[in-house]
Amino acid sequence: MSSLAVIKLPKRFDYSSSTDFNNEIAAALEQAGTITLDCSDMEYIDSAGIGLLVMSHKKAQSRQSKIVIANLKTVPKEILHLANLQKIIEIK
Amino acid sequence: MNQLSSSPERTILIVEDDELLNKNLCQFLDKKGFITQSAYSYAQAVSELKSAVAFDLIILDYQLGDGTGMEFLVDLYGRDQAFSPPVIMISVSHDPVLLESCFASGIADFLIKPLNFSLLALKVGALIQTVAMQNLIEMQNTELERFKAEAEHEQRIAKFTYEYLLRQNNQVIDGVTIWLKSSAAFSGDIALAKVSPSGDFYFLLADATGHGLSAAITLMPMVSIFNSMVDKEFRIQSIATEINKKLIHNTPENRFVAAVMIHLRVKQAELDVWNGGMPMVYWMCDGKIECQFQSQHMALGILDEDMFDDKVASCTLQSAGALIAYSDGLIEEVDSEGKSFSMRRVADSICANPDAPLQALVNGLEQHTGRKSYRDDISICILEVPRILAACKKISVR
Repeated sequence: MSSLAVIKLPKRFDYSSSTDFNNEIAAALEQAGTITLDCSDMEYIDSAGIGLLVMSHKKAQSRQSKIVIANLKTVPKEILHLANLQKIIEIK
Repeated sequence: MNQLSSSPERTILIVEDDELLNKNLCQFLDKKGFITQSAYSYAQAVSELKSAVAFDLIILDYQLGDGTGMEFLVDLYGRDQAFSPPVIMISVSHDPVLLESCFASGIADFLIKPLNFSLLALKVGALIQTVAMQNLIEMQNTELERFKAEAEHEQRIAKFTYEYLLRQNNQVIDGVTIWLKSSAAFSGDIALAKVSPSGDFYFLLADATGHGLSAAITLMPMVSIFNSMVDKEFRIQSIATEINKKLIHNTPENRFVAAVMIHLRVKQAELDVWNGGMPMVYWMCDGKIECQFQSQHMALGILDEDMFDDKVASCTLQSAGALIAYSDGLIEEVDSEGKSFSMRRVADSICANPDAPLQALVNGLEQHTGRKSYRDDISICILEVPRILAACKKISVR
């Protein structure tokens, strides 16, 4: 049965978020399904943060799961679109 | 008593000319788990100092038969006070002047006779623990200093190697202006310009994930690939594909490089731009933005070979105007209210001052942020097309 997990991303999503984020992703990927990254609090994301998203997407793919990014604010949305992240990860 | 203070290797020197008191102190402290050593005179105490035993604490009687405790302190601290064990002075005297002079001489504590042995044991334990902690911190500080010196040495070597690599693979070409502001010792941005043997102009601006040495390492393989493929006249589609392949195989999954590559194909009068994850590249002509090349691809090092898209944006090459490329550090720098410099401000700045776009952007950023140092690496590159085309012609004729 496919699961539906939600992970809330912090206000600043950068390298300092990696341990917590990777742990949450690993836990969510124990069951195949869709993981929604709730970005309603996120105000800043840097290239390291984008790297974490790409890595989580690759991990999810290898476990027949899917990452979805939701509730983006304007500034992080522009940054993710500049990186063309929508080409590999669904942005709602 | 805690484990540290009662540790069997803690050794205490007891300097007391009253033999009975000295023995009683030894017996009491031995029972508490310490190793004790007795000295019954000033001379014997001085001789103990010269022995190979390293004392963790000294209990010192003020009045010794052949000298005073104060004299002994001079001998003790004359060696090196920083590495001397703490001293608890004991005396029958209540004289505040004596107490003051003892503390001024560097003792750690003072007890008045007749001694309260329980209080003495508590003070001994606390002092030994404090000194052990200080020694531990000192040892860790020394280790940290050594580690810092080693890291700085290695960083100097890495920086020299990195800069040498960049110098070897970058050509100084008239009309190419590169402004690069690093946020750390190493920049995570690089800009390379090169003319191919047939006289085409190639340009690469890359921005690796993160900052500093880890970002610079990701960029290293790109430099030599770009250089050798330009020498062989490859199109930027092939160069981008090759660099992507290299990064996919040789760097960690969360490391990638946003990049823009520009190729002025002189004979064909064509301009190609491949933009993966970098901000818009502008072509300014006659004071206005003639053309803009937005990011159409993901950064290099993310997509596997079968998904990688090497498509370039092309247009007719005119010998006019300037191309302006920059890294996202520029648009993401924020003012005191958290507002980013933004792509809109970039476009406004260069349109307001088309003859000096670099100065306009640098000044604009400084005014916006109120700072001259920035949290991310920032690159701004101005490619003046007529001057570059003239330089290409000269270089290819040689």
